[in-house]
Amino acid sequence: MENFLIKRTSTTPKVEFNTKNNLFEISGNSRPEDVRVFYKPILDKLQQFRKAIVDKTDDYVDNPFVFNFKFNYFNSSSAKFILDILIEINKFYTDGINIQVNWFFEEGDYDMKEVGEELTVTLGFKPQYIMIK
Amino acid sequence: MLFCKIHRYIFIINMVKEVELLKYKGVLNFEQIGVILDKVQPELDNYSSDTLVKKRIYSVLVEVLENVHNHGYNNQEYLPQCILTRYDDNFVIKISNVVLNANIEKFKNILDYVNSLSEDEINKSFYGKIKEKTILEESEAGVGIIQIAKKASSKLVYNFKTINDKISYFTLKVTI
Repeated sequence: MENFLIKRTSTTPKVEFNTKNNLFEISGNSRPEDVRVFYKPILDKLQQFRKAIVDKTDDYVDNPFVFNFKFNYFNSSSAKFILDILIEINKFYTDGINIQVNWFFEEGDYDMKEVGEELTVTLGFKPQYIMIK
Repeated sequence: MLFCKIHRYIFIINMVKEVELLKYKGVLNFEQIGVILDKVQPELDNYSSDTLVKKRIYSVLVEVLENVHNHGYNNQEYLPQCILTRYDDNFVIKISNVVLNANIEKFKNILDYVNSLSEDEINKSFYGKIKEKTILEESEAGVGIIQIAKKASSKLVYNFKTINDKISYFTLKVTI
């Protein structure tokens, strides 16, 4: 499956989906003009990729697929779609694919840490919270 | 034995330091919101070293400006206005814009509902809305207001001033 890259703008995050390096990373600010138009293709790619590797879970045993969330800021409309991404990632987990989810937050930005905890509270995997100094 | 008491009267004068960090009056579209946010970021860095406070102010600004953009009523005579002021350790965002009288009841219901909630209830309400399977446009406005209340340090203060039979001027004051 091809890699996927969306460049960062002042209102949308950078999205890097590198299937060869087992990395999905989203970073920056999120307040898109049309939140559905921005996030729908990302959700579709994740879903397609999961379906493509669901029979290859052994490939990830020693080399987990890493999901990095490095938001500086996201608005309330984006929160719903970030939750949808986390729900899709949870399907990787329930399908038995070895994953590692990292949720980054700036030192002192405890709201960002809290939103990560709240959005994943009902999901099977638990992210690792990493403070950026 | 005579005790003399000397009373000293100390007059403490509370000097409130008031600094206006942002004042904008004009049309609010998606691009203009970006211009305003770009201007306010360095101001916040100058006036606060607290990351959490700065992020909360930024977040409230985005939500109030986007609310006006998405749900306000365009009127060339009464333009939207946004002011960010620092009063000592508090920051106050005051935003005003025209709304249709037909929508006042709906806005009041959302604001009064949010103001009736405790801090814990606001949190539960916010994440409850986010986790709803489908978010309708009307519900999105609600999520924005709940997000504002979540970041505010006191209850939301609002006012509707009637302009005519069709429109009113809405003002919302948020303290962080």
